[in-house]
Amino acid sequence: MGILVANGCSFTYGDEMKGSRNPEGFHCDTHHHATYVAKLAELMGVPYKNLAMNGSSNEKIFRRTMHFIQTTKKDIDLLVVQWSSLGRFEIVEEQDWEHDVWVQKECNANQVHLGIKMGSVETGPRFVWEIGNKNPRNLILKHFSEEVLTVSTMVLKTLSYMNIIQHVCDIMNIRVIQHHANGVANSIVLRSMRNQHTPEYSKQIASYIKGLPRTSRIGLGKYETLWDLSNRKYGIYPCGHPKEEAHEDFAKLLYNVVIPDIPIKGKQGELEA
Amino acid sequence: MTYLVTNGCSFVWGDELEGFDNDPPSHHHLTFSHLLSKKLDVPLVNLASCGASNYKIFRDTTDFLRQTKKGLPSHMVILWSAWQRDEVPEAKSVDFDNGVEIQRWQSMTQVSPSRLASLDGPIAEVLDIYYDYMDVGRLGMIRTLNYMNHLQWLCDQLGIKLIQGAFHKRMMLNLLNACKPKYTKNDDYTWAPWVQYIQDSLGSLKPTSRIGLGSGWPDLYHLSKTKYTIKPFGHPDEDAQVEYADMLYDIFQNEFDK
Repeated sequence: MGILVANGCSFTYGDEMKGSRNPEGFHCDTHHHATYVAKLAELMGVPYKNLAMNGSSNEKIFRRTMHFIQTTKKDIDLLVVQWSSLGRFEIVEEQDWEHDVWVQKECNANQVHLGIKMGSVETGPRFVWEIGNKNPRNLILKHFSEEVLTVSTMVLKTLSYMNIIQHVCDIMNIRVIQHHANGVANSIVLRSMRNQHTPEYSKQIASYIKGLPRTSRIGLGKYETLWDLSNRKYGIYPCGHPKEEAHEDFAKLLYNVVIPDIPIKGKQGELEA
Repeated sequence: MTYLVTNGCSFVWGDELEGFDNDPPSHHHLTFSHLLSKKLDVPLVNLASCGASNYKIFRDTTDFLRQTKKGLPSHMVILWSAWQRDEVPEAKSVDFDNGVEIQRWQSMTQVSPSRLASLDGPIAEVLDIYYDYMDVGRLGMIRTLNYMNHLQWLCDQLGIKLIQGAFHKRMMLNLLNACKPKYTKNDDYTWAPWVQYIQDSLGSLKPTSRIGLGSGWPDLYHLSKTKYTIKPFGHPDEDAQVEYADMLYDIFQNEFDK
């Protein structure tokens, strides 16, 4: 029997759900059975492995997902990758700057969290700094993210990672679902393509979007995201995470609607008749 | 289909080889890629471009494998570039691209601590400070080793014979320096988890995926520096390209299908 593997950020980890944020540490959290990953595995009748960690950037999600696929001895029946905010990126530092927030640590990689303001059509979307900027590190990261990195870089990276995962799953005959945390991702991607001075960039983004089946575009114009579903029906937890009931609904959406929509592929990505 | 794909930065494109600055460039027959394809008796697709960051090399290689209509290649050689390079999108004119002599595919500028002078004022100023403060070398090592492991695994799955490694001996020196024991002994903060991750990632690579990274085979720069000459802007010469092609050919002949 194959397993269900999922990765993502706090939305997939299940942050703020009852039983999470245990003062003794993440290993004492007891909310796991209530996440959409556990619910979906239950519907499918398969074991699951949830790789998600709070605060993950898309670079971290890609890195850890690929490492798991490459090293696991288990058959993967379904891979669910939830992509995080396009305003996050990864840096490595000796010092742990995330010690006072609920973020799991790994290989000295700190995840930088930024909000995104939409910007003008001329400049494209830009990051907006949401963390106090009194120390030099934060100030440097603020200027770096605004003047150099810009959200357009993360859009390109994320979409290329999505295409790579799609390709790998097609080769390995693994069913895959990819979804964004929030429907805002679609607006950000579209806006990044509207800068008239970067036509080649826009063409590349369009090509990446075109390379994905609808079942890997949840939140990119297809279906409803976990956050939007929760916001519409149940509200949102204080720190911005989807409610437990939304996890249950989202698992049903994936099981009843999205999974039957997954294109059936054979080895080497050839579409079966 | 039987053909060879190569990718990398200027070392693979063949910068400074005789004829490189002709319009169009006429040096391609002197590159190790071309020479290797002749020895293997297979056609060549050389994806390399000057100044390429490792993310661009990874993106272009995986895009190619996913989108090619030629069928999958039989052989592939990837020379990874400096750890600290990256790419960001910028709106620039065609004149700018020509002036810098590093083409900007997909409107992406390849940025590096050694190329700040060619960037716009605000970007250069911010990057100058950023490079002083942030450890872009260690970040690049995590990313690049992840890309290398991915390509090794992908090529194994697809039945492609892959050789990959470092373009320059500095890469191995950077790696060794960053992993020194002194960095894991700080009581307050430590690089120990990072070092462990790097050692595991490097350990997952086969010798044929570690050319110039402790496998015993030299990188292209070191070969040129020790046996031949280095061009004025730091690139290997024509003779080094010949010997490097011979070395890669021997690896393809002797290290695969064992």
